[in-house]
Amino acid sequence: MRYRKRICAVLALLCLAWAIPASAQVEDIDIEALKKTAPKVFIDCQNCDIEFIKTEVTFVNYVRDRKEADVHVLITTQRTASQGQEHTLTFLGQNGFQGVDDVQKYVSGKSDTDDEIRRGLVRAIKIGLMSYVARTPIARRVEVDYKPEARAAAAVDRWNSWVFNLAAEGYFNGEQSYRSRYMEFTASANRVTSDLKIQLGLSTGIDFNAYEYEGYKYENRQNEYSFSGLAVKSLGPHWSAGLYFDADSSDYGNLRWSLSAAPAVEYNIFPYAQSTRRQLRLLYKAGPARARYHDATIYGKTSETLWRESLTVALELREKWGLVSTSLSGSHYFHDFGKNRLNLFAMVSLNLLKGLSLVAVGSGARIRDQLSLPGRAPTLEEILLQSRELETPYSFFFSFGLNFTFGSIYSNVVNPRFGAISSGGMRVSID
Amino acid sequence: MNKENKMSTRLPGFLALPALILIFAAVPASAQAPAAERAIDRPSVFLDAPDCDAAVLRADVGFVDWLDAAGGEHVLVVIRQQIRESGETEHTLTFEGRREFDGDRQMFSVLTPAGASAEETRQALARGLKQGLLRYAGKTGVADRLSVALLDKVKPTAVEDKWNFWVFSVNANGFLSGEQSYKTSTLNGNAAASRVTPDWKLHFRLSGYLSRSAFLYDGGEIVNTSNSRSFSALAVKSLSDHFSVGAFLETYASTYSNIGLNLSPAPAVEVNLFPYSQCTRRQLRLLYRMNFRSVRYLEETIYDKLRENLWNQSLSVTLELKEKWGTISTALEGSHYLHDFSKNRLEFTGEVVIRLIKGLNVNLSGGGSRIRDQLSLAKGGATLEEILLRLRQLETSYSYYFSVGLSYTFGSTRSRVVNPRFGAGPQRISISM
Repeated sequence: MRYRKRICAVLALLCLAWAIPASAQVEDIDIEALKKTAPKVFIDCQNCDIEFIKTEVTFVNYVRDRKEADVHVLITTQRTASQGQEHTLTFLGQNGFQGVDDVQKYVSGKSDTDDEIRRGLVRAIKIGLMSYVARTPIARRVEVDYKPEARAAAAVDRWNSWVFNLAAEGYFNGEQSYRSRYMEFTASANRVTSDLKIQLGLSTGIDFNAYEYEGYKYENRQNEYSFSGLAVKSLGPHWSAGLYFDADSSDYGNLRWSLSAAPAVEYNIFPYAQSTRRQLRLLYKAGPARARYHDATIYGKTSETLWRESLTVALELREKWGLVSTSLSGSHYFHDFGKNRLNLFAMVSLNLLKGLSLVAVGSGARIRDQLSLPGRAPTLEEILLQSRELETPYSFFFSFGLNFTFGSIYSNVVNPRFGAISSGGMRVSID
Repeated sequence: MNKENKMSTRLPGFLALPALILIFAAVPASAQAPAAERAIDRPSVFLDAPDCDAAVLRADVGFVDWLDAAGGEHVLVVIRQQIRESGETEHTLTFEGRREFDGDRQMFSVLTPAGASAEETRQALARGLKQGLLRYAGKTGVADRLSVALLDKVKPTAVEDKWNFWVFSVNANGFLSGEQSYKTSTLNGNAAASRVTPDWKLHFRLSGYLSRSAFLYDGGEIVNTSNSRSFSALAVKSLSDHFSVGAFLETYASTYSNIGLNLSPAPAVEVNLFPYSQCTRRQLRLLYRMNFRSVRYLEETIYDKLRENLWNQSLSVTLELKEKWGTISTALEGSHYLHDFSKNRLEFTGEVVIRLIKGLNVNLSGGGSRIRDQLSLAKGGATLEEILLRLRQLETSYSYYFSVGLSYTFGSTRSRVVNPRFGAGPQRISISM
């Protein structure tokens, strides 16, 4: 009996020895104690799979507020020439890691799946976090592996940087008293290099809504067609020049068709190289537009050719304390300076105090150039469903969310049982 | 006739664009090597470590090019030793970026215990060397062949937390929009408390919602309002990697649904056919609920009720897969009342995003319901605004939505170039509350 026990003990010991990795630490490893001293990380990302990051990167602790963090990981994205995403991961050291900063990048392709993208991001996060982890005791349990792979030589780009995309989308919904159908077809051809950007796109939107209730019946069809073309030449780190060309048709806007062309110049006060974090751009354009209307307008026109100019100022900042995205644009027609418009858009997302965050988005317009308004009065349905442009000297929207969170700062746990839970609040996403 | 003439004079303008593009494109096409690859494949490193067996260390780190002599390196690594009073040896590793990495410098130390064998020292130094070189390698082509992992499994709750994992939040949100002939506003507020650990999930939430819209028509103003309030609570205990038990409590009032007050406690059990620990990759969860509903209606229902107490049971099956080839997320839920089995409902929702072949992505999403349990429908007819603005629930035996999207990309699909000039184009802003 005793003998058998001893065999068991030896076997158990053998198993243990086998379980301990080859580096065979003689000392006892108290991984829980090591984890307690691991860096505290705040992941500041709009569209990341945070739960996946938490389950894959286990050698740090996650906190829910940037002010609690040792490392603030700011993740921003920008579109690449291939219509993929360039993810810029800015690692900012805080507390004991003040001054230890790094920037890593990960580029995903247009047709990469969510899983591929989250795995690529996790790799970049791990690589970037290592500069901090290496300075804490948990580093001795973190292993870096390298898989040498024979890689195909860089392929010659026989497409000369052109990327093409064809897309179709359909959306259908309904119930007994209501049904709607929306279809969209788009085609685009882009050639983007750091020197020259060419974007050509065609799109069609076909919309249908029907309401039926106790003998009342209403149907509404609306189509939109558009072609847009843009060519931009880079002139140094701050200047660009280009040309817009657009063709549109819109039931909403009473446009049978319109054609417009406008040369433009742009000046960016920050160098374009910093654009994922900061931009302050001034864009001026001017040119003619030819329009033909479905119904005669309130000015009695069925078609006209008009010249117009516009100036836009756009500011975009993405910093530790939050995000600012705002643009102001003004335009007027040359035949009558009184026909003008002023648009303001602003979005701020701030995290200035521990636990307190504020998001506000708004836009407002002063409108004095509704040249395409049809002469006939709108029906009640057209008003309620907002299916046509209505006369208005202004329009606005404003949305805000104020959130205060307190309590435990750690957010390491992922618990999927009974599905996801939400504590409410507002989410704004831009894409 | 005259108009057609004008149209044809516009045509040359239309043709001018391709011509311009050709001129632009003709400029320095050869200078534009497609930036499909990173500029550097892997960093070149020179190691200055007189007290160590440098050759052995170098052999341990395979993801950089080791230089035999200083000069031309991307990173210079210096290792120096110092013996502490405790007998431990402190190895200071200094990494100095050069060339493209100019100014990128870091320093940290690796400790080895007194009496550590040469092998132990080598392993500790090699680990430190790899960890320190990672930030440089991450910016080169070798990055996607590297992996980093913690050798041990560790509980996410291994932290010191004076709040014992309780998190509280309060938020207020609003949305206002309008122009001359219409204005809408929505306000929403929430207060929540939660405690989530691997063992327990507790969540409490109080919400209120208020919405108003006003339209000018025919000299008058049409005003509509709707509101709802709710309190919900959830407690889930983990039983194993596959089983959980818990209970929901839901209380709400809603003008859309003609409900003055609904109170429903519901014990529930859940089985996940995949282990919960694989949840970010795959889940197949079956959730059974037994609901008790005590309801008071705002207006008399089509069944002549102003209040009632009912039992209802439901079963839902949720499948979520996120794999290399794509993502699938679907749920099927069936429920019925116990007092009348024909008062039932079947709901399906699904979303599939798959890459079929290189460059071709398909996404399908949709949902459908067979509805035979609209017990709260009010007797009176709906107004035109209520129908068009969908302000109240209307009788229906089904509802559905379906969307399909197909996207095919080809051409030069591996470029890393980012060109932010003239902005990123139209952006879509979505606000969800």
